[in-house]
Amino acid sequence: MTKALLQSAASQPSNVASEAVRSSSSEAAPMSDPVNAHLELAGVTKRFDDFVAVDDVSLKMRKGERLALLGPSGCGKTTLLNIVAGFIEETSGFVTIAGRDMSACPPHKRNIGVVFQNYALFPHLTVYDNIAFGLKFRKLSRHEIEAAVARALEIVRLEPYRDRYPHQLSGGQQQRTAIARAIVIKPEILLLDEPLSNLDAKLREDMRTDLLAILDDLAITTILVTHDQAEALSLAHRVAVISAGRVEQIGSPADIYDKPATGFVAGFVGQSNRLKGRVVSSGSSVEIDVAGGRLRSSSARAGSVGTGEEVLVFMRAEKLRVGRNRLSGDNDLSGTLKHAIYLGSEQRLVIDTAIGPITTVQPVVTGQPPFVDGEEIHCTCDAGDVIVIRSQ
Amino acid sequence: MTSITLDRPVTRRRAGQFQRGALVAPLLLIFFTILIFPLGLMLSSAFQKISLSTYEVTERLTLYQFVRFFGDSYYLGLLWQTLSIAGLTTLCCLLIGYPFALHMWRAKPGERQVLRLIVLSPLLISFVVLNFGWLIILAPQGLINSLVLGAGFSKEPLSLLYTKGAVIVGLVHVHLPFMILSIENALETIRPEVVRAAASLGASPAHRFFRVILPLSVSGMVSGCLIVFATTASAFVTPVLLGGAWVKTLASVAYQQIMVNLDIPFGSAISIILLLLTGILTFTLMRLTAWLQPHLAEASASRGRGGGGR
Repeated sequence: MTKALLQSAASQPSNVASEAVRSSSSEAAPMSDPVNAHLELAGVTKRFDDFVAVDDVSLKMRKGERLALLGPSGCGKTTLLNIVAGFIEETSGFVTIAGRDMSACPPHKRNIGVVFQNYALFPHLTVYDNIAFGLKFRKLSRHEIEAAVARALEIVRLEPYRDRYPHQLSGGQQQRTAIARAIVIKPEILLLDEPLSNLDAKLREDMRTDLLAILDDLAITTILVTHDQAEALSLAHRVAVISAGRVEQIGSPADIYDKPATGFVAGFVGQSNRLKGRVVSSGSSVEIDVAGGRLRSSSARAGSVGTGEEVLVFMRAEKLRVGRNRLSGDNDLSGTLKHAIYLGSEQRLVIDTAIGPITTVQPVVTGQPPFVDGEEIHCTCDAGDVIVIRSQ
Repeated sequence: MTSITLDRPVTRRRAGQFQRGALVAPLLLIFFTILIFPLGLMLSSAFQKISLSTYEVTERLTLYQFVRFFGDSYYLGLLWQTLSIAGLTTLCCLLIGYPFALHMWRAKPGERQVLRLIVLSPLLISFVVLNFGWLIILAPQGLINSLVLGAGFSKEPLSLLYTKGAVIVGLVHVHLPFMILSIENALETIRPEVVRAAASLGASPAHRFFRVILPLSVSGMVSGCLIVFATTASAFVTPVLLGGAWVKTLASVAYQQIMVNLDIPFGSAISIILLLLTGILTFTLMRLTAWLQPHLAEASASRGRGGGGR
């Protein structure tokens, strides 16, 4: 599934994506800051007493770009969103929208559409009045308001529900009302706070497709906060991985996935085997000693480590190849199959190898008997798929 | 659902019903002995007529007492006096209580606890003691008058005590907690994100208040008003202590008729008129809120339908 998402993310137009960014710990590619950044955060920091929720975050977004803030709960991504919306005041740093400094601008003058995690619909208003709410503060005639709401209802396919109250709607309908209410005001910036997390799994898949279609049509500069990597990788042009209030890495979904800059990013995004090792020989291809065994790596960042350095090694669960017959490959990880977990379309395998237990996810091939516990199994990983990161 | 209930062993069901009955029995007993029974007695005596020289019942079923009440401008004046005191007290409680409740709702948890304690403080002290406190403040030689006379604003002491104003001040003091707590309770149900959403959509602080916070706290205002109005309309202690013989209310006159004049039928009739009036006002106000908040009416209706299946 992750593979499919990755492909869909990678196939998105790349001209809007991947504009380089200044970020505290990113070793990202050379920066060519957009000349006219639509949204800019510069050194934004937020302290609550002794706790630093957001730590010196700087980034720039182009008009129409979609950025996902991805991180575990409590990493400060929602605080950052609240700072952009103006609900929370930053301790230091500044936010600029379309060239205007937002420091002294209260939230109701920022023209920002927000979709809240719990939707925050007005319980005393109908779907129609919820969507029309923001338009009443803009200089529009009644006729213009009616036309705009009708169009928004059409976009989110809620025309039959216009006279219902929020409590009479399903979770997905409430979600769509919240989206319509936020986009109908034609905001400068659209902020989505965990937009799909309150929906059940099946509905989430459908809503994600719908949301992607809506966002593609609107081309509004959008920040999406999420702890769900599938959501981040599939909906955003760029992903900023956040940990403990800092931006760990910012880049295209494919960059984040294939070339993680830090151990945190490598561990947080995707399913990986995380191992500790020491570099035995360096060069264009690196040899690492892991628990007595040897691994060879030729991945993107492998060239930057020197002999004798302590490193972290990551191997994506789905990048390993397994088989009952001997396989040719750079790293031999054959061993006894400890657990074979059948998941329908795929199988999760835990193999006891010379360098410790290794987990891999393999598609179930029609016509081939699934693997069973205790089987001797051949496994290999290409040197290009062994990610090496200097341990801090 | 019905079939499941039928399948259960009959004995277990009976035991369950007995247990449930046992839970509500004490309350029903108290309710009956202190409310329904005396109310029945009052109702029956209100339609009687007695001779005020012999105290013997002369007629068993007559509207005499009600005709006597509504035919006398003195009693109609009393009725108006009572309703206006209750109405003004309720209005004052609402106007003082709403901003306070709003501040409490926005305060940090620590400050909110302190404020809640301050709000509840009048309830920890007897009404009588509170009213005596106002007596000391409002008396001709009381706190206010000694300040006014001392500063030379007036040569004569102001007559503050035994006025309608004094009664209202005393009643507001005692009843304010009920108003504040019910409004704050309603405000607590408003999610902070809803107010933020309004802000992000362009609503200024004033718009947020009038279009979101106020409509969503209507239920708290109404229940606060109902409690304050119903209890002040029948208040007895405060009008007697702070209003004396000059500010009479229906409750104090009913007391006088029953305990002093021994005219139990007339006292009962006055009490029933008071009860009906507050009942009608309560009902009207509740209908009005239901009309003001269509979303809540439908919410309870759909809950009712869902509950029917159980």
